[in-house]
Amino acid sequence: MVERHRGTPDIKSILRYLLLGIMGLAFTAPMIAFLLNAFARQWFFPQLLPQTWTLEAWERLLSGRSEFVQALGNSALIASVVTLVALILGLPAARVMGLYRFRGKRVIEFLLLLPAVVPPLAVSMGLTVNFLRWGLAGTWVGVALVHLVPVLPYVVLILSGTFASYDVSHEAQARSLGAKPLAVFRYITLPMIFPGVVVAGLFAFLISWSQYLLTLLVGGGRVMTLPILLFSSASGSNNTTIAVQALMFTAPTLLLLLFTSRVLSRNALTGLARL
Amino acid sequence: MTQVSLRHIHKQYAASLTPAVNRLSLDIPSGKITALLGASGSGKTTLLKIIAGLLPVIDGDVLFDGRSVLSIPTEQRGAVMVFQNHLLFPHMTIEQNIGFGLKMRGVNAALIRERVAEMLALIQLPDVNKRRPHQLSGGQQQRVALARALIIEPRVLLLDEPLSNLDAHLRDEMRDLIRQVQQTFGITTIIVTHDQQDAVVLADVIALMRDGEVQQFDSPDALFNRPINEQVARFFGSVNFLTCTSDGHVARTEVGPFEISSQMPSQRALLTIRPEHIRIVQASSNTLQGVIEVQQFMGTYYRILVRVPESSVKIIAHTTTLPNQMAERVTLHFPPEHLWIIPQD
Repeated sequence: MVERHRGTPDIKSILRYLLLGIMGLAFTAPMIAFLLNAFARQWFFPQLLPQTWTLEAWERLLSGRSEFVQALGNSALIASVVTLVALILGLPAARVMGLYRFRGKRVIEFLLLLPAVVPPLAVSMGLTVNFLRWGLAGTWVGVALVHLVPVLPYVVLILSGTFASYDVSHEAQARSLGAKPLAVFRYITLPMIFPGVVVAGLFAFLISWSQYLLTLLVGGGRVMTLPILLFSSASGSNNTTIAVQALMFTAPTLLLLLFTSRVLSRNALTGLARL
Repeated sequence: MTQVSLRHIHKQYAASLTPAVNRLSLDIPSGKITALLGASGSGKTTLLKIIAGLLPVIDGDVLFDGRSVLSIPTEQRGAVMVFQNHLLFPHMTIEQNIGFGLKMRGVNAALIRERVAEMLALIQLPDVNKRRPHQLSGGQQQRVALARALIIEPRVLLLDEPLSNLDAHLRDEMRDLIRQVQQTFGITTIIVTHDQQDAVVLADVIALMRDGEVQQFDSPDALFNRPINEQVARFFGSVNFLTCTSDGHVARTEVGPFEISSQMPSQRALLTIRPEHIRIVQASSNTLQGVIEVQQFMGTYYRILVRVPESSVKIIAHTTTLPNQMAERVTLHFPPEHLWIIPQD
């Protein structure tokens, strides 16, 4: 709890608000710059605000089958598939890690975390060679698969935190009352770990959504996702185009965060705290 | 009404550990309350989970009415377990919790609601159906857990320490409720408890367990007054033991002979008497001279420690039965009908 001071604020609370202000500014200032740029037609040096405004860049980028819309679609498809697969693969692993104690558990935890710590270039160079051999390079399936490398460790860690505070006897109780294994998962396990699943899914989606290097290496330029497009236009396009693309890149993540903040409970945050 | 038979049940959690349940056989009577009584680690909860189908056995068989149920999975066995910490599902309302078992059996929603209302009336919590488990007190949660198990009319009801999380006054209420529903439904009920008081009050028969084995399986009265060995006697509150040689109606001890009412063959044995059965009197037969060492007032009774030659005797005496003037030297009377012989190898 933050203490409330009445009367003259002391030096500690001044510093606290100063720090909060700086952090807030650091997050919002780039967004404000993007927002202004995205609607600016003419904006020259000494002016604080653009002189003339336009929706031209928005219309151009969001029209029909533009390259941008395709990249948006690819990113959404890949991130969704990665999220789903990571949850399906991560749940059983996290359950074992969270519920049971066994020899070598720390080693396995370390190995699980490794892909998130080792430089992605080192991991993906080797994978790319194999993906080329298997015909997965340059396909969205290949890209989705390689995204799982950095995504899975986060999903398993978050969910194992959820399972650590989950009383598995509830499942025995449900079975004793007549629930078959599938019903136990649907009516007991899933609802009880749901906040953790939402947080893990959010992380999975965002990590995949913002992946640049792995997509570039495995996709080989043939799988166009938003970060790839954003990078190429950042070096070549005009400010308005970059601003619109950057906003469209950020918007889903913000919306997701807002949407899921409702289900973020203490339960889910225990998983986050372990990171 | 289902009779539960356990045949040579063996359970070891790891090969290196001593067995949790050691080749145990027991015939649990149909339609009665049986208590599995024992200290923690005696294997009683393990046994309960084996009956419920929540733990596999290494060897042995579990039979309901003479038919093996080992191959029947928990959810179809009809033996419902109520766990010690009641384990209400936190994401469901009380109504959903109680109705869960019927929902799993595909009963339609209207009928479930009707049956849940009946159950809530039975446990005297008619207005909590829309609440969440955390909004209820511990005692209320325990009653809901009981209702949730009873609603599916199980063949066997398994209660794991149903009273251990409750305050003293709630324990009495819960005891009455368990007795009442058991009599109404006539369900074969097995209760696990470490508290001999709970076992004596609740159960028709008690299996006293120790180290994965049943020491004595008998009525509460028998366990109290006719224990088969020293451990059972101690578990049920006997504190006075004198080594003796029994011979017909006489037990010869180091401090002298005592007349006993039961007939015993000649053997080495332990003579025991419960502390509340010893009388402090003027001299007569079956007596022992001693000096009062400690006298502790407990409200309605005294706990008295009397030093006798070579030993000491513990006595519980009601304030009304004590002589007005307590001398330091007293004579203790052991009524023959309360003296009990425990044979020794």
